[in-house]
Amino acid sequence: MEFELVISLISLVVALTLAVYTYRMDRRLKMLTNAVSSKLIIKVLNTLKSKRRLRKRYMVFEVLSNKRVGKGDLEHEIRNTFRKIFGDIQLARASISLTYYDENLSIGVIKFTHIYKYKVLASLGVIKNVGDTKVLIIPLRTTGSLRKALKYIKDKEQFIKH
Amino acid sequence: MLSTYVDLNVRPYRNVDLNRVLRIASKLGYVAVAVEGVDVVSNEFNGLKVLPRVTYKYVGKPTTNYEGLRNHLIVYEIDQPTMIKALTSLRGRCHLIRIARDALTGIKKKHINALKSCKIPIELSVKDLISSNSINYTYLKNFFKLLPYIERGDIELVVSSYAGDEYELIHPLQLIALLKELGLSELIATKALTGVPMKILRMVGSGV
Repeated sequence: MEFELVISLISLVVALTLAVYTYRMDRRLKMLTNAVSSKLIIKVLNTLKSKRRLRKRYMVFEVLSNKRVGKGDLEHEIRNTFRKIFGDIQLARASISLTYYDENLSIGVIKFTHIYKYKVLASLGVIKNVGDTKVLIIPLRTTGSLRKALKYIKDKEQFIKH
Repeated sequence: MLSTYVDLNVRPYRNVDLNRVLRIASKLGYVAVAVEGVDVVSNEFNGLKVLPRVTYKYVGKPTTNYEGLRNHLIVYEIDQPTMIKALTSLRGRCHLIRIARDALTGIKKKHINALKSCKIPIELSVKDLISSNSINYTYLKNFFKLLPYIERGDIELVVSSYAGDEYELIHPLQLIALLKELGLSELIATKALTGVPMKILRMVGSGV
């Protein structure tokens, strides 16, 4: 009787240790597979990102200044600042251009490649002077087409008039 | 995203109309601004909260008298890297430590460790970073020394404009984009303009 009890106790202990061991191994295996899969996913995502088509973005912005700022001067300053911060290669890739600028309203639209949105935003924030004039450039809206950007400006113009 | 952007350092020049600066700050989307030289808390354009701010120069030990400074944002400015020592004495005595341009220029590892151990958020100004439509190279070089500690959460960062007039203000989204391009994660960059300043504002109400 006693012998059977001892045997059953030993088997219970062995079973418990095996259960704990398999649980721990399972966790380790899961962590390993997760790590491998996340690395794979990142790799796949990166390759997909690099092969994605570059799209255009149009950012509507407003210029606050005490004097009127010309379109040519503003475009030159935007390009120049972007070049100073990020360099010529990035400037060429971003293909920045001032597509529209209303000197009376001081509202304009800047065109660039979609992956450079943060870089363009940062460089617009750095611009503090255009020539001798102190300026503050406020980004208002980013759109996917020029038509939508111009519609936004038109709506804003009507809102100001009323 | 909940836009609760706060600018904790506006120091208008003598000849500048403060109302104009505040109107533009409200237009840019800020919900609260701390202004040097203002005495009372007020609500201005579209609910923009204006807080009074007092900046002391740190000369080795904190000022003992804070009479009449309830509801004021109390800041200690460090303008020499050698002053970044024994900052633990400032704990509970101020809300923020401002690192001036000269202090950041000569910053070393031991200074960073002092900043880390004092557990008080530090303030850096965009005005120091930007010079003549470009980024100040020396400032940026030393900012990069602090960057890993900020990213890791060892040092809490607050970024302010230090604007003297309305043209020196900066749009919060532009500031976040700039910080992101400098190497901070978007989360930490957003926190430097929203989360950490809001936490300080809550502390201002209860005093130091």
